[in-house]
Amino acid sequence: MYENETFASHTKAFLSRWGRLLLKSKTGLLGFVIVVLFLIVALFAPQLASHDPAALNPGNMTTPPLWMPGGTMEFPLGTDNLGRCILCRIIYGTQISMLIGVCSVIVAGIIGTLFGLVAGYYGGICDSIIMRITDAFHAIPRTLLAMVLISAVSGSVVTLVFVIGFTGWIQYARLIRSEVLSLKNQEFVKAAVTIGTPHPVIIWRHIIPNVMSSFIVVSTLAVASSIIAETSLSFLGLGIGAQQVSWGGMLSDGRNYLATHWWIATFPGIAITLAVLGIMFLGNWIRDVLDPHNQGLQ
Amino acid sequence: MAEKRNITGQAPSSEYLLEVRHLCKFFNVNKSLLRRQPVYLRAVDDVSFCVKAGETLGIVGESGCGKSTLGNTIIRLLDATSGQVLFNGKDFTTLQQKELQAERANIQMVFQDPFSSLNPRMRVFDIIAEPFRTHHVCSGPELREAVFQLMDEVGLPRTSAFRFPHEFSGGQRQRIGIARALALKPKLIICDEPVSALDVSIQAQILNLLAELQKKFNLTYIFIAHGMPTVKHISTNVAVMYLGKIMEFAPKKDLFSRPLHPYTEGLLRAVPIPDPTLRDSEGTPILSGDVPSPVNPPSGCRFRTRCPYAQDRCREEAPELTSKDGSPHLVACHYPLENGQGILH
Repeated sequence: MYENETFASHTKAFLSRWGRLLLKSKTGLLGFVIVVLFLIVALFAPQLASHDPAALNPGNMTTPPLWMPGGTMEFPLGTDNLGRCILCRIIYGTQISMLIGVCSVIVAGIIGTLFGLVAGYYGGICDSIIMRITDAFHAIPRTLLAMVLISAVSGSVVTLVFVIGFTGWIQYARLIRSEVLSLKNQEFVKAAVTIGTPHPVIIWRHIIPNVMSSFIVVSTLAVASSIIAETSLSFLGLGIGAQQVSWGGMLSDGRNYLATHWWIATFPGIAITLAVLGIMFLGNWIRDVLDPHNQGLQ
Repeated sequence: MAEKRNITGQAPSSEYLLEVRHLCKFFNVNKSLLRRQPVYLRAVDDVSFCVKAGETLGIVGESGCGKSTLGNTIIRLLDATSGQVLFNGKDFTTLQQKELQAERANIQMVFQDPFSSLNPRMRVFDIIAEPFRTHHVCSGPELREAVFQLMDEVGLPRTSAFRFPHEFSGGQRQRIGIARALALKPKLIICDEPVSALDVSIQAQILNLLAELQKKFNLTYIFIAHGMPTVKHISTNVAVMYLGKIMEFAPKKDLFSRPLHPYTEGLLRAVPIPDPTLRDSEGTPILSGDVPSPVNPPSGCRFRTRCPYAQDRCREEAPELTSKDGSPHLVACHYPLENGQGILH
């Protein structure tokens, strides 16, 4: 219904504004670059990795990294106790970590947003019940709950996504609820009521677009914590089975060799740190940009 | 005292577009976990009045006197505690959800804050088009034309249709809000302090626009304001509210030239007079102190704690809103002013 030109020019202006703001912020740019790099690595893992991540090399067990005596170009970051290429395993591990990080946030986001919208908008008894449930969830340690769930069903990527998502929706429910509480008293929502707009339409048209910015911010930060959650579950032996590679699993494999072959656990650890840091930087930058009080960035 | 005439019993309802009868809105403020004894804040307490089609009723009062709550209750943003709101003879307070949804088109509202009354994520076009879309009035090129026509009507350039609200000034935003309220061709528009957030120079523009639109579309207004001057500009009748009750209800001229209630006089005196030679020697405002808590209002007449003429009777007996001689000038006071100081011109 708009002229296409107007829409295109708006989109263009929008993109150029974000690009300009990104170049202005050092940490934002750094985060953006790191995240894009990891995404590329995850997408092109088969092309980038020179070895099969599961292939055993009995002749090359615990080869040190390239720059240490005994290191070879074939295994730039060395091999683990079974002779598997660490670099290749990190590359393939990126896929799993990114997949679980993003998908579990989507699961948590959907559950939490639905609960938050209903609790905040309809209030009353709905609100009380939902908020008591979130309180109850809050009282249970996340890892413990995840451990119970995973020991009940077998570990796979899908179960991990749902378990991490199911244990992480609380923060969305709380955030969305509080945003909705203040939004529903705004006059534009009252205006929609006086027009006769049905409540589900009001939620869709007036409430959801206005909670999106905080939703995006929390989501980016939640990706980081989901990656850590996956890592810690894998480290505890509750991750995806041994046939698939994940950073947490690598850490777990390498911990027995820390004293003698430090590289087995250190490099996946660095990968985790970098990925989480990059996502955090990006998330913080998005928060700053979306905050209307941050005049300097506008 | 001559025959008492109560406003609600005086005429058949068909004469009026809107008839409010004994409307009450209480809020329970005792929200503790063990809700034993409800404690009520009486925001609107037994308010009755009538508005004829094409008229403007101005409602004035200090902050917190319940005038916005009254507006919100009439339009059913809030459900009334008791009482009736007869719109064209139909009781608005008891309409079922479906009927209400359709009936809402007849009563619209212009809001106070032009910054929070427009969704910041919607373009002007979509904001003004929302009523049409909700009620499936029209779509496609017809919708486009209808929205543009409304924009012409309120003095917005058509070129601004695809901008976002934050690109506009307060006055222009208020025009967008007015266009949205006009979209469904309502009979009654409740203006909830539509100009109090605007610059003085813009206030006049918006008031003139509202007056123009009223003439053009034969609109009826309920105009809520906290200052006397704005109400004087636009009203046919004026109701003065204090602590949830109407203190005085009169045609504009009568009220401004000869206020009968001490509170009205106080409000009129509070208006600054630009010409010093016109100020009388005792021209200091007679209103002092704050509005008492509506949770625990004073016994008898609610205004007695701040009234310079209060007597014993005012503490014991609440005065009714009546007129002494059958005139349309109603007042809720045991001792109406004999020669109230108003402002003429």
